[in-house]
Amino acid sequence: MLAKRIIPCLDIKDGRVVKGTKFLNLKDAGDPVELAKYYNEQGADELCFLDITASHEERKTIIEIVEAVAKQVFIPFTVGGGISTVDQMKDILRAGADKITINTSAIKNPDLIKEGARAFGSQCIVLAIDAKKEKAAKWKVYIKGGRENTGLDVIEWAKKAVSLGAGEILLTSMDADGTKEGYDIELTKAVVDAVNVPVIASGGAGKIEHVTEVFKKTNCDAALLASILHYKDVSIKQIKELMKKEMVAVR
Amino acid sequence: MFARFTNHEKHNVKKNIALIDFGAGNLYSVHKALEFIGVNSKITKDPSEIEKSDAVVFPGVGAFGAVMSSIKKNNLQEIIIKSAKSKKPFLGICVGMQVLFEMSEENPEEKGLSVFKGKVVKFKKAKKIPHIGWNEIYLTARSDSDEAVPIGIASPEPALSGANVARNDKFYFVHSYYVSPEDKSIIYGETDYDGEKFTSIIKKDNLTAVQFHPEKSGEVGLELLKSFVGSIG
Repeated sequence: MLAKRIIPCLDIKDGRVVKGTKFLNLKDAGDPVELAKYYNEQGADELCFLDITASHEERKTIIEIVEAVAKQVFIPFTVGGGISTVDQMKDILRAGADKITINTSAIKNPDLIKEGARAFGSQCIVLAIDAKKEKAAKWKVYIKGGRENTGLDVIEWAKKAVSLGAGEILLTSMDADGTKEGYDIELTKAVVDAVNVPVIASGGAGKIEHVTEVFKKTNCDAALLASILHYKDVSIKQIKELMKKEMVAVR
Repeated sequence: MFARFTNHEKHNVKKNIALIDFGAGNLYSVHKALEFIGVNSKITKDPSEIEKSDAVVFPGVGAFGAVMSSIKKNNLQEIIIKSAKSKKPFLGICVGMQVLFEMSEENPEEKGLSVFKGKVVKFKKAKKIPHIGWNEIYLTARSDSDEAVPIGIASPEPALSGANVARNDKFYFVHSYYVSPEDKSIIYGETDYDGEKFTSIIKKDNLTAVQFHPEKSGEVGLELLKSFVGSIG
């Protein structure tokens, strides 16, 4: 049986892992390669690196990190942040990443999804959506780390991205992110039910029960975790033990 | 399973392994994984180099058609077919498994290498495509039992059992298509995804081809690569 995946997310700034509450107040939480090795040993099923300040000068830094991780960690990993061309995707994949996640650049140029999928296959293209609730059962797509409302409907955008070739959706709830009060079940369920590609739930995990909850209440495929792991509030081992107990398929 | 293989025994074997280079996305990952277990494989697109090697690894990701056209552009069809049919150990990975067949539903206009009869088909029953993540393998081709068993359980084939691969160990998959061989006797392992059973390992003589990614399957994947390296005479 296909296992539900636990994916630690490492936000990278200036070559270091950071994670802030609601994307503000960044704190230094460690060296990316060491953390990647640590999470691999802990039983992470996959890793996600988001370059949150990706400017042109820093592009090289993330490539170096990708190369260093790929030499020592043999589980899949996704890289995102500021990627807006097929050539940039190629550089990162060549350096050893398995998938690329795009967000703002896909909104500005939806054909990027199509071009990326054509060049590397849909399985390489993960569309990240930052969603914020507008009214009952309606969410809008936000960009620029949650600062700008695009006016796009989350469900419509998810469907369109899949039709263009996105192979997976990384769904972050802006409302839940940083609250530690649990994943946004309603949003996650709505997106999972609307598309036929795997969905990664993100934002809001504060305790291990939140992870099993999102797997039991929605048909999402993976859960993304950051600060809860980085500050060692809980371990992947604890999460997986509870998943096993609760009969959620686990590796 | 987390603490099982903390110390990696380095092989440091001086075996001449050719890693076929036609621009596959996972080429470097496979190279790095082999390097990690102490094996220095040679990335090459030179047919004479491949011919001289003791073993061949044939990686591949992406679309069937794109992989085939890249193989053709590099004039590698003949040497890949020859290596796959030779007696030397051969490991095909993902699309490197798929193109060994005649054609794929993904790009019906592009012919495969036709080492094996049969085609590559898309998941039909599964609700979500691609099949992404960690899944089990059930060995089917055991002569002493009709019952499918998880990989690693008293597997008679050293190239697959890998001493440290155990029951319920999962491997990393990422694909939308799978091979459907005409000759069922080459089906060595099967995997179930959302109620759809598909061929995840084929084996014939010294050829092994897998749909999953050993280079991305963590410790068990490295174990499998080690056992492949161990099978090289």
